[in-house]
Amino acid sequence: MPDDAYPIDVIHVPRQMPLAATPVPAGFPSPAGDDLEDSIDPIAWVVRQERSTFWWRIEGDSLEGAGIFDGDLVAVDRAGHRRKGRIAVAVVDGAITIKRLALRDGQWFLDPCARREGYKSIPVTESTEIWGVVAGVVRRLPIE
Amino acid sequence: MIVPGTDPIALIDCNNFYVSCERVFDLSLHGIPVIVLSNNDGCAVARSDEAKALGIKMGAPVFKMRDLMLRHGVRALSSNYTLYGDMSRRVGEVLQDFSPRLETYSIDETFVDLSGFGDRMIPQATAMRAAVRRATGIPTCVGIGPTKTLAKLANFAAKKNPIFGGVCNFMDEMIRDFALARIAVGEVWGIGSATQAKLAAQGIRTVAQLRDMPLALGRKTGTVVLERTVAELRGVPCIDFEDVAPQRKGMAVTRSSGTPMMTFDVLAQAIAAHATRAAEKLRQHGLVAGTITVFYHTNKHKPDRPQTSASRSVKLSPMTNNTFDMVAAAMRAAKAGWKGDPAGGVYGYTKAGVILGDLLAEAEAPQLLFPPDRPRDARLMDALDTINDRFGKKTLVLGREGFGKSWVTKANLRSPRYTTRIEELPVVKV
Repeated sequence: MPDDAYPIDVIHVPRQMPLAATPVPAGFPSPAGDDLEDSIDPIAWVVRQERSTFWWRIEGDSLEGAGIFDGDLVAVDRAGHRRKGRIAVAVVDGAITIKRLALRDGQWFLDPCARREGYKSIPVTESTEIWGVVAGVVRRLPIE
Repeated sequence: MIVPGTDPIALIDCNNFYVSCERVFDLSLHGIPVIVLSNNDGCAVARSDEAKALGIKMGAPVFKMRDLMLRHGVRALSSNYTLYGDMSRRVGEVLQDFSPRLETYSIDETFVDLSGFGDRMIPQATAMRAAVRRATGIPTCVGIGPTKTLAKLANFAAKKNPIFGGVCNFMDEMIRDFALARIAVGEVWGIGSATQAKLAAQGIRTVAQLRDMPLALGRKTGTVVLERTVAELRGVPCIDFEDVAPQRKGMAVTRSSGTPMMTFDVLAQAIAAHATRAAEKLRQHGLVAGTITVFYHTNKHKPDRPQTSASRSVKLSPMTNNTFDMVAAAMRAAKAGWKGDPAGGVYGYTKAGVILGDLLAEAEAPQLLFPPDRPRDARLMDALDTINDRFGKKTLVLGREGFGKSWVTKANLRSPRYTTRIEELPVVKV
């Protein structure tokens, strides 16, 4: 309980508060009424497991090789299967990053996905945690 | 002859839930002492293991431990109930894969019926724990027992002793007897400090001693509640397993205000917001209310300031969950209770709220014979809820709520609403 919360005496002073109710619409019902469907929802297509999917915002340009750009939203499924070639969110030395999972000679690596040189491949060690697997990307383009 | 319950009940309990939710998204919180603060940032309502090790108690007021926090680098966060609620929902959805019978006991505890799993009970509990961890990142412990009281104690044992690997099974009598002899009686579900003191006077200090006390003496020492607890400790189920949460009879939305509310206008904004929230909650649960009570009071802990409190009830006829109706009724009640000049007087109100009563399922609510005509229909409420769902709470508000929000609760250290707000998503730098 918050320290400033305490029960108070409630004095009931009954008053009538008359309210309005819903009117019944009149007129010919729309013939299209039964054929309406929901609008298309691509997010539901990206998010296969709602409960284990979390969204992150991308800042930076080192994932362009994977088609993920600065400002994109990525859906990350924590319960997604860790397979080679998949884009994974990983915790390396307490920092979170996104890389491609690779398997070479029995050793797992987190490979960079940058278009330019200069990013190193990181070997997966016991202290590396795979936070989740990227399930999809959402990008917004200017329309104004 | 007492026949112990034979159907196993599991209690899965999230470890340091609020702190664990924060740690899923903020990796800098791992390995350091973290506390989460109550409404208005007053005291600690959740602690990481590191914070517990520093001796920070549940409910410890922040102003009394500033030195300690500074010395040990304790990170304090305001409560982020939006985040905890969303994470709790996700945990619940994972658990539904594991048993058809669940009972949500609190935001971080769920009873799971494990009867019918036979020998697969322990693997099932272990898999359940792993699935929650994997899907949500939240660590949990599972306690299994023939009664709810024993399941809770088994969970306590699972948390305290790493030897159990997170799952402790009190269906096993050897494990149960071993643990009950070592757990203090105060850890038992429903045993408060007063009962604990009475029991101590009779030399009862461990759970095993409580279990073995005569039932009649239990009733004499405590009440029928204590007697039932003793029976539960012996494996006799006395607390029902409820498939569905009991229907809510009442509902309240109350908040403390960060700064005292001096004028009627500011108070009315706060109450309009609370009434709006209450109406939303009603619609979520498919309920209508028959009465609305508005109350507000000054800060009792500042006795040097003028004190007053007010509360007024209004009957809602017909019963409703319409935001406009609810706010209009709340305004009338608030106005009726206001003392003196609406532009402000000597009273600074620090807490206000609305309480709804006479709740009924929408379908069961009595209808008027001649419903008055009105332009605002249920579709408007649907639209209001849909917009606020999609674009975040408070995207659309009634003008009465105002835009200043000077009444908003203090939460200066709140983390982002990582999972429910697009503009507050966690950022990964790549």
